[in-house]
Parts: sequence; C-alpha cells; structure tokens
Amino acid sequence: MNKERFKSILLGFLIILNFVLGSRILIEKKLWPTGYNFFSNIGNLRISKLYENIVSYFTDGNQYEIQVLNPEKILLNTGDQTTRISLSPNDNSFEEIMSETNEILKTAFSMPSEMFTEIDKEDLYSALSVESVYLSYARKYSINLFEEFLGADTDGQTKLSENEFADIVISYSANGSKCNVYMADFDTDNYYGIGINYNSDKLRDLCDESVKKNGSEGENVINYSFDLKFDQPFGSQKTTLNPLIQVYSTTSEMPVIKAVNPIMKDEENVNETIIDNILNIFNINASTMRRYAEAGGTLVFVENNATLKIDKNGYLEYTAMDDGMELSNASGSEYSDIINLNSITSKINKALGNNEAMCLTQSDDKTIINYDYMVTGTRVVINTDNISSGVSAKVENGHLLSYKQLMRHYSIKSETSSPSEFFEALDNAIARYSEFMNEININKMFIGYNDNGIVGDKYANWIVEVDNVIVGE
Amino acid sequence: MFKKFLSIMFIAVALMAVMPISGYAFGNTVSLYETGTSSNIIYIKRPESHSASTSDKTYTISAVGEQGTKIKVYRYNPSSGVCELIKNETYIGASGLYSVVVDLTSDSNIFMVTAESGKGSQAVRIDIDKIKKSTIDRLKNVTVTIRNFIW
Repeated sequence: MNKERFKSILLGFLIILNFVLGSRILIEKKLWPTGYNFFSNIGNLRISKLYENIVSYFTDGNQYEIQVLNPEKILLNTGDQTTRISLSPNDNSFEEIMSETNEILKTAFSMPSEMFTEIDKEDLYSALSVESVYLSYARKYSINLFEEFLGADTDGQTKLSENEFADIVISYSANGSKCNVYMADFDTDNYYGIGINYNSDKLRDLCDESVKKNGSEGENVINYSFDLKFDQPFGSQKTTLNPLIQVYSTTSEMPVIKAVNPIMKDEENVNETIIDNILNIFNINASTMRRYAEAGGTLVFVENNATLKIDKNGYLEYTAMDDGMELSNASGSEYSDIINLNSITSKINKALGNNEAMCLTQSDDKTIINYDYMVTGTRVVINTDNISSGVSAKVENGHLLSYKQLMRHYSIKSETSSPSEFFEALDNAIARYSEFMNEININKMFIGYNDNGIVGDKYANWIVEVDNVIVGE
Repeated sequence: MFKKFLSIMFIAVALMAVMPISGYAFGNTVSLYETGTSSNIIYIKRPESHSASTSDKTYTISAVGEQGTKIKVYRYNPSSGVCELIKNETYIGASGLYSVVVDLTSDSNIFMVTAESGKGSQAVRIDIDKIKKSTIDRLKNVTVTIRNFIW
C-alpha cells in the first residue's frame, strides 16, 4: 500500500469521526451550563431518534432490568417443612427455575379456558404440602397480562377474566409427564387449577439441586400460615394471617445498603447532565421551557403541556396537561401501558447510572402503575410524604398523565445486619394498633429495606402489610 | 391475743397472695401428668388433636393465647421419667400467636407445652410420632386430596 492511499484512508476515517462526535455534542450534550441548548430541537428529529435507538441497541445491554413478570419470591416445597426453601431473585437457581415455570405457565395459559377448573382452597394447600413450586408475585396479574407477557396463545380466557392472581403453585406428577397449575385470588376467594401434559423432569431436577445447595438442614424452618392454622380465627384470637404468609423460624443476615441521591453532584449543586437527559425523556424542549427554583430549592421546568419538578431530595414529579404525553406504539391495553412505562423508567434509571432492578408492585387503581427498587433480590419499600413506591405513574389510553419517582441509587455495603425474628416483627407491628383494635388481618409479611426518603444506611427488616383492622366491639 | 390474731391474719394474707404464683410456676422439669390449674390459657392450633405423625425431622407446634402469657416447652425423657425443659420461656406478644419448632429425635416424641398467666397455669401434652416417608406418601394418597384434573 502506498503512502498516499494510507493518507486518504486516514483522512476519511477522521472526517467520519468528526461527524459522529459532532452529532453527539449537538444531540446529547448541553452547550451552556444553564441547561439551554440551542440545538436541542435536533434531538427531537426523527433521524436523531433513529440514531439514539441504534446507539442504545449497542450500549444498553442488561445494565439494569425491570422485572415485569418475575415472582418476588419462589418457594420450593419438598413435602416436608424442614427442607422447604425460599429463593429470592438474587439466588443462582432463581432465574433457571423461573424460566422453566414460565414455560409451564405459557403452556397452561395457551389451553382453552374451559379446561380451567374451579377448585377449593384446600386443593391449593394440598399442592403446597407436596413437591411443588410456589410463585409469589409482588402484584396481581390478570390472565390477559400473564398471556401477553408469556406470549401464550390466548383464547380470551373469558372464564377467568374477572380474576387477578398473585399466587401460583405448580405441582408435578411422580412420573414426570404432567403438571398441575393452581392459581389463587384471595380477594374474591376464587381458586382455579388446570392439568397439563408437560415433562416436569427438568423442573424437578432444578428444584432438587437447589434444595440440596440452599437447604438449611432444619436451621430455618418455613411454615405457611395455613400449616399453623394462623389463617383461621379461634375464640379470642384477634390476629389472622393471610394463608400463604411464610412463618420463618429464624432469620438470616442481610447486607446493609446505602441510599444515595444521584441527582446531587455535591451538597449544593444538582447534576445538570442528568437533568438534561430527564428533560429529553419527557420531551420537554430546553429552548422553549421556563425554568425556576422554588423556595426549598426544588427545580421547576414548565412547558405549555407539562410541568416537571425535581427536588433536592431526588423526588421527581412530572405532570402533564390535557391528554398527557402520548406513549409510542400505545394500544391502550394494560400490557402496552406497562411496556411503554418500562421504557421511560429504564431511560431515567440509565440517566441516573443505576444498576438496580425494579419490580412491578400492587396498585389499587388500574391506571396507576407502580415499581419498587430491588437490591440484592430484596424489595426496597419507599415510604415518604410524596410517594410510597419507587415509581408511580398514571397512564390512561396510552397517554402518560403523571410520573413520580424517588430517584435513588443503592450501594451494597460490606457490613450485614440481622432482621428481627418473625413474631417480634409481627408483635411490634400489631402493638401499634392493639389499643383500639378488635381484629386485625395481616395481608403480607416479607423482608425488605425501608426507605423513608432520607439518604444513608438502610437495614433489612420485616415489612408488615395490614389488610384490615376492625376497631371496637 | 389480738397481736397473735393479727400475725396469723398477716401470714394468711401473705400466703394467699403468693400461692397462686408459686402454685403454677413450672421449673426445669415437669411431670408427664402435669395439667396445671386451668385449661383455657392457650389453645393449641397445631397439632389440633394434640397428636400427629410425620416423616419430617422437625415439627412446628402452634398456639394462640393472650398477650403476656409465658410459654415453656419440655420433652419427655423416658430414662429420667420426667419432661425436661428444651425451650426456655417465651412471652406471647401483641399478635397472640405463638409457634415453636421442635426436633424429632426418636420415633415417639412427647412434648409438654406449659403456659402461665394471671389466670393460672396450663400444661398440654403433645405426641408426635415419626414414621417413614413411604408410609406418609401412602397415607396422603388415601387421605389427602391431591387434585386430579381431567387430563
């Protein structure tokens, strides 16, 4: 190769590099420290979006994950209480077992709805007393959502369309050729089951291996509340537990985590790059918006059709006017709304540099979609004046009406702490009501991190969800 | 005479005050035939009939009672002929719920769960037999309905 040809190739390479880097500066970076970007409109052009999509395709990877259909917990039932184990998303075998159970659920939900049989609660309990897998979800899913997330061949499942399920049990037959799938809707007291032809050898092997590896040899015995009859009131018994609450005989050490507010560069200054990225995500035009700071230091960005507030504690609140922000490829279904919201939350988390997973959690309002942060497979329960979950968004007919997030990064510390014992936590929770209560029903109990909005160390402890308290006589 | 009468009265009152407490304080061992002074301080929820069979290495006993009730668990030792303390005192909390995991060390295990409160004392005998897993599986096939769906 002669020298001239080499020079031409080098020149060509430098010209291409010039365009690539130049476009990045124009589209992604601000030119002035106040956040005003003369070229910000370029970022809204279709070709720029295409460029962003190509870049994100190559750079996103699996940096963090929003778990749309992951159980919060998987329990492997062996037929004995001593060897029963609980897996969190952080355990090695969790992913493999979940992938196999999803295949089983996909097969079950592809069956005609007439095949689903209404069963008694006791049938479900029996299934939990033999070799089986219990999938406990952090929120309830309709049959349609299960079908769409799993990619099942749906027939509408009209028979079960009124119900939502957060508790699913899969039991397998001794000869390995069949599986039973049980679904529980405790709110409506409806239970369904279906038998399917599915080779359960793989699931059995995965479960056996996991029990061998993770079994505590009786050090931590797990009973369901129904095993101990704590779900049934008797005489003067004031407390009842949801039948599937797991009563642990002991608790194990958990890592201490540290909550960091990623929006603050230091005590005084916010990270303008993150703010720019967030404005882009909500399609707020930096050249036409109005920006001001409220007395408490909250930054307010006002555009004709939306307001975005970011306070110094990391609380983000987006409120759209009129019809709200149209989400891409929105079909108006709950599934499409969740997928679209995932995209927005993923972009925000990416802008924050977060690697934590998030999971969908329960909401009483159909139009509200909630997520919680997950750290080392454990849920972080947010409890502040502004927000009671990591993310809470209102989506209607494919339009985002509001979006709230407590922006956090959680780092795992080397020190550990031990959550209190099950009954100590339960007694402490109930003691708050005991003066005026007559009856109390505990809906859910699980170990999680409680974030009250103040940055710093967080210790794992029991989260007790009270279902209803009956006051007086 | 009056002084003597006063002294006797004082001793009698003191004894009456102490008796209910000393009368139902369970120590490190209890007799297999101990029943206590009351029968409604705790209610054993599992095993409901106060006896059960299992192939498991452990068994979880559950009970409900009033807040503040003191619970102790003893295991019968055939060689000494008495029940020896295996789980030291625990107090039932605001939930009113209590459970304890006991190891099943022999084929026939006898436990005594004792409860003490202002109402008196109670001792409940619980028998747990350990049987082979194959026997349990056979029994389950007969007694427990593992749902058979139409395949």
